[in-house]
Amino acid sequence: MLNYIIKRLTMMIPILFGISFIAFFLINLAPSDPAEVALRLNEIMPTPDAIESMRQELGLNKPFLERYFIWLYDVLHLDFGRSFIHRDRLVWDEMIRSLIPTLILAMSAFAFTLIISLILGVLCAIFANSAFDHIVRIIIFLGTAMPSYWLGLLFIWLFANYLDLLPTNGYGTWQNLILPTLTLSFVYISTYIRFIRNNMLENKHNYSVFYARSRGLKERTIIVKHVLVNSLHTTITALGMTIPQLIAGSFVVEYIFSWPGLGRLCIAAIMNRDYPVIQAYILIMAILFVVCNFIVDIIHQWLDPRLRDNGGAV
Amino acid sequence: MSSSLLEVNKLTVTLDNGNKLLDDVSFTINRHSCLGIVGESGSGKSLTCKAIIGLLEPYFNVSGQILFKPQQAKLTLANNGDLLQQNKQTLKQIRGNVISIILQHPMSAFDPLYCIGKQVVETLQAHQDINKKQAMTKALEMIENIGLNNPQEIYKKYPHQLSGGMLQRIMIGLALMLEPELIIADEPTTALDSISQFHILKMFTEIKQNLKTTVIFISHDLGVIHHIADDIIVMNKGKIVESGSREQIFYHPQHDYTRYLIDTRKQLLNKFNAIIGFNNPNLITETT
Repeated sequence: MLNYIIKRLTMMIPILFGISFIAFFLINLAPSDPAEVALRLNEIMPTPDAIESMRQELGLNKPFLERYFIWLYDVLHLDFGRSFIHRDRLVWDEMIRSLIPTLILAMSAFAFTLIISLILGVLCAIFANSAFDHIVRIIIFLGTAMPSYWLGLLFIWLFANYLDLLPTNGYGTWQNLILPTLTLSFVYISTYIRFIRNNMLENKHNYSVFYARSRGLKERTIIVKHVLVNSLHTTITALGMTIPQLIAGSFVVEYIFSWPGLGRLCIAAIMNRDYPVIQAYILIMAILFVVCNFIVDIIHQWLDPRLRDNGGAV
Repeated sequence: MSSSLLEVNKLTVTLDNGNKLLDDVSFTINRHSCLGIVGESGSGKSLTCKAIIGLLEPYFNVSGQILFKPQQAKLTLANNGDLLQQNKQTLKQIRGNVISIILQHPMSAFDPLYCIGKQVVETLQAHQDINKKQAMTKALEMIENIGLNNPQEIYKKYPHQLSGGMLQRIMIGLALMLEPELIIADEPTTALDSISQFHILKMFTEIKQNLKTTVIFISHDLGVIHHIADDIIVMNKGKIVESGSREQIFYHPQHDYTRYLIDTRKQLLNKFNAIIGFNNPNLITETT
């Protein structure tokens, strides 16, 4: 197991270098000149002279590869440079400041998704085709069909306006966290309930489950140990991809609830051609995806001995 | 001389569309005897077993009686011991403990995610009030008793790391562990190679000789049945076509279908003997 972990960690290094290069390269293909944008945003007339000196200041006059290696060298020292627009702000500080609210929201949505979909998924599988199952499936259907911006507004209207229970937006208290969490998790919950329910219904008819029954095991042991755990494969794979998605893709929800997170920072950066911020964002997301993928593989191996390198030998 | 342990009366299983999968099946098993059930695939052999342990899928309509008369087990059975009328809790107590089952596909019967030892332990703990350590000791003893080396190592193996023959032995060992009054072996040799078949049959012979257990042995292999069964019933298309002692069925078959089965077996054997140039006077020999 330890060998496997070391092997995987070493394999991550070239992947991350590749990603860093692609991130840098793609952004430099963008048509408009960041120097010009930076000047306009700081309300300076973009004369050819001003642009030229701005390019020099931002280091844009150097050849592409040279710029890449300078950036890479800095990044390896955890220095993501300064924002093109606000020259006094370090990108790293900006990132951290927005990353924390995003992480809070993502983790709370993740935990909520996990708990609710496990409970409802298992119950739906046990009481398949009952009234309960049908109701949950209708909600799932709605949940998959409703876009999150609309759902968010609906929640604001219901809980904040109509029932007057929760604040419409803002950041700082736990009440502020509830609505964005609900909005963000709804789609994922729908997906996972379906995964868990259907996989469990499939696995219920496994030969090994029949044998477990014929051995006279308790129904609860059979459902949890032999049906549920065997059904988690797709769910875990999908969950591993959901964490980075929650962090990277929550800008719609962040926008609706005025949540000061990464998504908002990133959108502003894209609008303003703020290369250092965009690059840092892409790189951090890439690292998250790679790391989560790695963790998922480890969990799979831990659960299923057939996936281990040595076939689970002891 | 011997009393009956299980009486199946007019067991009929139908689907909603009226298809009869089991039609009026009745038979009796005496204590400490071995009943062989022979028939082609789809003749209703396994369905009969599933009905006995109450694990038929809910969409089947079942009628008839399965009277079970255990002696040792501390069980209070309702309705004269009709297994079709017991509640879930009683059935759970019976399964694995009073009636054990040995299945056809050992490779897929165990849960692939847990090591063999854990699955033995969980079965023990479902029926006996013992702690994990005691259960582990018992499991290790069992693995040794069934003739596998290195019980400690086997205990920690996962199902995919063991051969079909080994898993089948473990299944048999597990079935015997709780000293059931009835063992149902549903084609336990079918999925195995001849060497493993030989070992498994040897185990069953020993079970018959040493232990006071009653066995229902299901197979489509006449050689295996001839080797192991005292009484035999022949099933075809959900009906019992003939039943009787081993001698009766093999040497004085009455029904056309039984004769057909035995003739086919003879022809195969003759052909085989002709090929290897060996004349075996006893036409229905054991496969071992």
